[in-house]
Amino acid sequence: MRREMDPTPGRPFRSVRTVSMSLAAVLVLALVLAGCAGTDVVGRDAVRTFGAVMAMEPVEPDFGDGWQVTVEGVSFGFTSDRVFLDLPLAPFQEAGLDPGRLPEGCEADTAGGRLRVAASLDKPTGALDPDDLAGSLSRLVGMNPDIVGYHAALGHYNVAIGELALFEWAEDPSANDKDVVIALKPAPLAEAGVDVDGIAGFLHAEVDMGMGETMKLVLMTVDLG
Amino acid sequence: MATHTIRVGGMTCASCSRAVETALGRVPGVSRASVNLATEKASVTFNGGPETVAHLKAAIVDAGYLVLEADETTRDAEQARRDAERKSLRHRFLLSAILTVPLLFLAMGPMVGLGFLVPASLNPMRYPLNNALVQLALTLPVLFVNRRLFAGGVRALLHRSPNMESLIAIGTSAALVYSLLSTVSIFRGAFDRVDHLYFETSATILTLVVLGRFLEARSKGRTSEAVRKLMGLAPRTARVLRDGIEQEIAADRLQVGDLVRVRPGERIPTDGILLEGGTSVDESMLTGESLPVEKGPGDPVVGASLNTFGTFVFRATRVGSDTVLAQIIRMVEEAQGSKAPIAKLADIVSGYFVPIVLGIATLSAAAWLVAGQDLDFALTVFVTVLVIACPCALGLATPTAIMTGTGRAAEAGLLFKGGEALEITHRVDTVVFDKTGTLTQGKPRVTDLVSAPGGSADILLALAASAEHGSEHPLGEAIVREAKEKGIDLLPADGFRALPGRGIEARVDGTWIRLGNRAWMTECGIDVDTLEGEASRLSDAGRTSMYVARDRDLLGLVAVADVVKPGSAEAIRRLREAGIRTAMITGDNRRTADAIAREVGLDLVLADVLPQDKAREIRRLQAEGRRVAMVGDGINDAPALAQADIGMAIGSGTDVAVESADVVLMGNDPGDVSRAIAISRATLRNIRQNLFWAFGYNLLGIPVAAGILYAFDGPLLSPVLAAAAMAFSSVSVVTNALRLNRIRI
Repeated sequence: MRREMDPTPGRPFRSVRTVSMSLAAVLVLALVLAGCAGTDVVGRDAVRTFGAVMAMEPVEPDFGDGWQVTVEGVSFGFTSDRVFLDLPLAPFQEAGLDPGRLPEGCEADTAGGRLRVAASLDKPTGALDPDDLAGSLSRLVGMNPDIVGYHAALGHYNVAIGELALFEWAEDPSANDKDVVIALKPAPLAEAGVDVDGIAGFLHAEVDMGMGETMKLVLMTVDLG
Repeated sequence: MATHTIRVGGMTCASCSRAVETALGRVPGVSRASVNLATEKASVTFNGGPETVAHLKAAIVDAGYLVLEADETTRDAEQARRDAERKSLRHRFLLSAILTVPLLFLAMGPMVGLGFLVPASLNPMRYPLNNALVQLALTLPVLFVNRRLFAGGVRALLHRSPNMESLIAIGTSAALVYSLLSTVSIFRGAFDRVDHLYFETSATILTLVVLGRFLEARSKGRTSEAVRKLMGLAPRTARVLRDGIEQEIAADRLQVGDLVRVRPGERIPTDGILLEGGTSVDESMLTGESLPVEKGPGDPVVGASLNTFGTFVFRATRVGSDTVLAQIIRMVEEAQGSKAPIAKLADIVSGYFVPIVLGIATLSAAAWLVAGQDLDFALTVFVTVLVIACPCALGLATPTAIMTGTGRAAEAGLLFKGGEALEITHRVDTVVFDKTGTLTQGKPRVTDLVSAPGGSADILLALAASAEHGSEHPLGEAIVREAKEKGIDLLPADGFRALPGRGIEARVDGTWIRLGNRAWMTECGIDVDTLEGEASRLSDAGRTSMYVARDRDLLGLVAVADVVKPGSAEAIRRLREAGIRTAMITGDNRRTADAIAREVGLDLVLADVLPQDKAREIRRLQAEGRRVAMVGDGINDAPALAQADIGMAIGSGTDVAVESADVVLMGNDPGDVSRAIAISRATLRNIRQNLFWAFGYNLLGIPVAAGILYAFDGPLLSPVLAAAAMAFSSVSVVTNALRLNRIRI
């Protein structure tokens, strides 16, 4: 007669062992995955799409201390030890910016008329390849994977400039009218006296960040056509 | 026709028991198959030999269920199996829960503002593939430990008799497959698919299902507490006197004829006849009667009753499975395993339930897709309908209440022979009592001593008892017993002579003492005029009065009657309060019967009924549209007990009466009749509550799961909540049935 036996009747130690082994396996898997570039599909695709978008007109890539891409007067760049955004200062000044009240990581160059937002990298990338923008970003992401993100609501990848700003680009520019987005956190600007709703060329809006989370951001969007 | 009971394993819901019934019903020669989910027993009536039993077992296995071997049907083995099952379920639940909690946290934490607690390398927005893979890794062990659910569900599907496990298997598989496809999409770059992972749904459903099963198994174990209590009454050892030497042996090695010594405070190890010593015995656990019963040489003693007072020796007359306790346990178990007619409704519904639910789930999902919702929404609806519609509560609604109700009744000394008896009893509107031994003591007693003017009652009794000392007539025995109980010394007598239809005479202390009716007194030239009025009064009260004379002098009257039991009037009052008409059936004359009816407060008296006509009287009441319970104790009551809608044998009765009865009242108290009706009513009320809950739960739950509220801007039920509700429904039904253990009767 066919009979099916209970897997573990009356043998609690076996259950404890099974649970422990299962949890240990999951922990090991999580640790392995944490260091595994192969499963970092966001990083992988961010690099791939970054190269494609930055090759489009009118983006101007340039290599100095590191890489810098400029579009409509706003530059995003990264060197071996930091990432930054370089923005025109005037719209912020006109909206009431008091440069002396800017937070750490934010700097106003009143003489040059620029506002710079920068953040240091946790792990320096070492020398970047002046001939390969995407390869340099790949190096940046490989060393500092947490710097890259995916913004599902807009179909964008992004690089975080510390806690202050995001530089985003479209996953598929042909299907997106916001090919590049510069996003600034409004709170530090507001504390520096900026009327975040009155910055010329920027929009203060609530953005769906995914997983049910929304965030108010000061946005500048660029359609590369 | 033969009836065979087979223990069936692997059943989880009403659909399973229905499938087994159908499979058994298809075996050639089977006339009736009844499967009880709660006791896991199939009772099959068939025309055939041992080969048919083999076919029956094969049919069960072919239907996808297990036939438990003979060694597993012994009580200890069954208990061990149930304990192992409970432990297994507990371990499966704990293991599942330990893995499901972090899984839920990983999947839902970021959605409820706890994303900051999720390790950065598993952040679903930044590392969606890592997140998905770890979710999968947490889900797989949960699927593995609960693989039996899948196996059972798939097996039932393959046998085209889908059950609750089929619904769970389909629902969780759908969520799992969809999540695996989403994981592949994430790998291929569709990172937003991280929002479309339902691994936690699969794992949570399984965890909650196994939790429900565990709680259900724990509760079901308590429904058979009554039998366990009864079994626990039997002492494990006995002191046997063999060759004059007392030795302690295992009680199950006792043999008929063994002499057994029992000391105060010990339980009597088996049934027998008391030989030496005297005691009082507490039989309350068997009969429900709270007062100890006095026992002396010649009295029967019942195994498992408690010796409260003296040391005595008895001879074992029944051992092992022949004892009263074993018979009670067998009767209770059979009753608990039987099916009440009310269960048929649940059986019929459950037969169609699962296929209909599968249809509703598919149609709902398709309708939402057509209405413009995405595949995620349709999948959620599909899984939720399958999960919430589990019919386990439906299958448990009746048998758990029957088990608990019959068990509770057994504890009170009320043995229902089956679920049908339990159900019909609650409908009884007329209770007909046999008189002798039921409402009355069944033994005549002296009720009145009326001495002639100037005489003494004690002298009257002493002379009458002395004269009757040699009599074997019940009336004479009653007079002698009364004298002995009053401590009156009997005088030497000789020349005893019984004159049928008139009385007796005997020479006591040199004078002739005569007892008898008026005709006998007149024949002897004795004037009874002075006490004629008193004799008439006693006769009107239903008593048999006898004149007593010494030589030609009238000494007085002795009245004898079968007196009413102390609890009879109260029993009748309680029945009347419950809206039940009460009647007494007796062969006694109208005047005697009416006297008793007045004393206890009966509504109807059926007097001068010959034993063979009792059944006809019951039939006549039934023809008036009454649902009749007959309460009797003797062989002559058997036809009436069988004819009545419910036959109740009282005071352990004769074997024939017990055989003919549907309910055995172990005690000798007519109040047990109202108690039996009360527990029947409570059980049926409980069954109706359970069925209402089980049906109502599905009637409400399925439309909500299908998204009817969502269609009117309301919420959509999640599969996880559906699984919780499903587990709760089964547990609530069993818990409600367990309330019967606490009812006062």
